[in-house]
Amino acid sequence: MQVFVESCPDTLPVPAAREGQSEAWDALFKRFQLPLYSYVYECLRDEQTSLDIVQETFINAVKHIRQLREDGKFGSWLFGIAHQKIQQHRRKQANDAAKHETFYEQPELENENPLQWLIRREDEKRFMDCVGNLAPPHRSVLLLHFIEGFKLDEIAEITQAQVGTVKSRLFYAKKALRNLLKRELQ
Amino acid sequence: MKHPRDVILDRHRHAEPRLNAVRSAVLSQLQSQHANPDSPAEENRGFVLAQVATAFWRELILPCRRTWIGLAAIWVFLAVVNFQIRPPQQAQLASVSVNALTPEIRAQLILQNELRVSLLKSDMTQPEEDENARPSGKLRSAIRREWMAA
Repeated sequence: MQVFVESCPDTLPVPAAREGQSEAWDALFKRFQLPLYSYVYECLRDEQTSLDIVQETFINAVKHIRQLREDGKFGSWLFGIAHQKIQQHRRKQANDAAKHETFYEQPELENENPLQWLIRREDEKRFMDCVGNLAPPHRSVLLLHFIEGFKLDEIAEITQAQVGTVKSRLFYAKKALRNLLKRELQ
Repeated sequence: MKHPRDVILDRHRHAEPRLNAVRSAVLSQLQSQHANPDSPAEENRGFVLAQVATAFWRELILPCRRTWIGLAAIWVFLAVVNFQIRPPQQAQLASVSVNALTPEIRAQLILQNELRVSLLKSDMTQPEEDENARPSGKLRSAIRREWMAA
């Protein structure tokens, strides 16, 4: 089952944010902070850098909100800024080895027993490892597709690529992910 | 079964307190900006200028930077050669101002100027003398043709 969470342009207080109302910005940031962080983190695999990029993205969004033409495209515009920051960071740290910090979480055992929880966590970890093994352009496209359910043209805008290229990248990313998961299961 | 979106977001929920801190930091910055607002027109103009400069640099200079560096090096070389070759007397003359001329030099200059004027006048009268040299008033080509026929 595929459930895409739409960015709900009608409910986003973009016009109020344009006027500089901090409550509107607060609502917008609250809506996008976790998806944006997840996207940046999965692209860079560094917590501190990801937080810095999220902060820079928010600051740039406040500064350049006048450049946003359609209020309904706020989400893709924000992800576009973050994507550019990621590219800049990648260029700077071209040879830097990816770091992956491990976080220890408290298990949420309300509805499942510890064994089920462990199996689920293991499956999710395997899935995310497979996503992490994809090539960066494929990973970006797939994450944007998964996290915000962006359409092809929106992903093309964010990644500054042709729609055809995005379509092909998405196809090959899904295919590669399927193959990796199959190999993991075997 | 969870949707990939939930899997990805759940994986990063632990970072929410830090993200909240980031959000409040940006909002406090926004509020402080509202307390001391800059002129939007000036800010916009500065931004446009920066954009133009960046575009100029990116589109014109960066793609052929080696050519630009080569041209600059040639210009520097030519300037150095020019300063080296320049005769010292000419440089000295160029540095002498009109006020610094002595009366003798000034008299010499006036004399030279008069001589130049007289020479120019004699140049202007030269064609009349040439006309006198050909009393027939015929063209040189015609004279030559006659001479060949003879």
